[in-house]
Amino acid sequence: MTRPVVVLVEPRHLVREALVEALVDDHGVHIAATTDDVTSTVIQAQRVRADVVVVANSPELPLPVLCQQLHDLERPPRILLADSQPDQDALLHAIEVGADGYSSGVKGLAGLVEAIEVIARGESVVPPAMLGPLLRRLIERQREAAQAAERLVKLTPRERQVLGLLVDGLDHDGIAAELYISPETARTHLQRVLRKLGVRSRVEAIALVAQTGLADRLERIVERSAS
Amino acid sequence: MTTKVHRLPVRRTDVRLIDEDTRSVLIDDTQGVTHVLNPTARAIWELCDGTTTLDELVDAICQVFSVPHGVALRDVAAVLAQLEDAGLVAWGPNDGQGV
Repeated sequence: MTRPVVVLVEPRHLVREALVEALVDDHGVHIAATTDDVTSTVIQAQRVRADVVVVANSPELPLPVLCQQLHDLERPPRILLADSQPDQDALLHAIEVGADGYSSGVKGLAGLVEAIEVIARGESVVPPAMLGPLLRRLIERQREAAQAAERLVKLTPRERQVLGLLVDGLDHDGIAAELYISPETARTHLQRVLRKLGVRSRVEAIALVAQTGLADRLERIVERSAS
Repeated sequence: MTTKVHRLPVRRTDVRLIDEDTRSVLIDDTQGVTHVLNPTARAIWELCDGTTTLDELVDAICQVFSVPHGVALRDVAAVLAQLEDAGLVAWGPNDGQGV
């Protein structure tokens, strides 16, 4: 079986060099390119026709953007998030933004190599001990989204527009201008939105929409109500 | 008639769970038997807490393993059936949390 073509994304230069040396020399991994940001990763993944993109878990790398751009490629590679220690938040985030697997670092480089091989075969990789908590948290997210959606249904079409504009960053003056209503009317709409959503502030309302993944749903509802 | 879809799987609490590297073992002291679970079965077992619905389980499995809903439903149902046959999971009432 041919070895999977791998692109390694690691912003830390020294770590990247050490990883490449160990993966290539000691484990025979075919690393066709190394990168340190989103743009170069997408370009290299396309150029080398990568089977797997291994992304080091780093605050410097915006994983959602990277996953989205890799998924949009004509031949999308599989995406593996490589961590140095088990992090349930990182795993949840990776799965939610569309990564195909997560290597926790517990089994060292051998574990990472195994994960690359498994993911290249089209399977998903989740460390066994982390699967249960991951499923539980995904289910909790589903429930939160369902509850938030129920609250959203209570909003009138106008209130949904107001909430959508609030999420876009407009204050009540901006919302008033956008909807051709008075600032007082916009303020009244906003107060009703907050009350119906059961939140105390605009920040909480925006967080509720963001946390529960309602942004897309809200946009669709607003589009529908406007057409 | 109430189908299983409308009820909630509940695991037994009087069995011991031991996690090993790539598998877990459930020890049923009352029957004197052990049951070996793979990681997915282990995760499903853990979620048989009397509040999680079959649909919730299937949706979460779909998201993690990127499999079609029908495939996940078949696999989860098969695991639950095996756990039920082994007397490790029973089906409890769903008091309105959805299906």
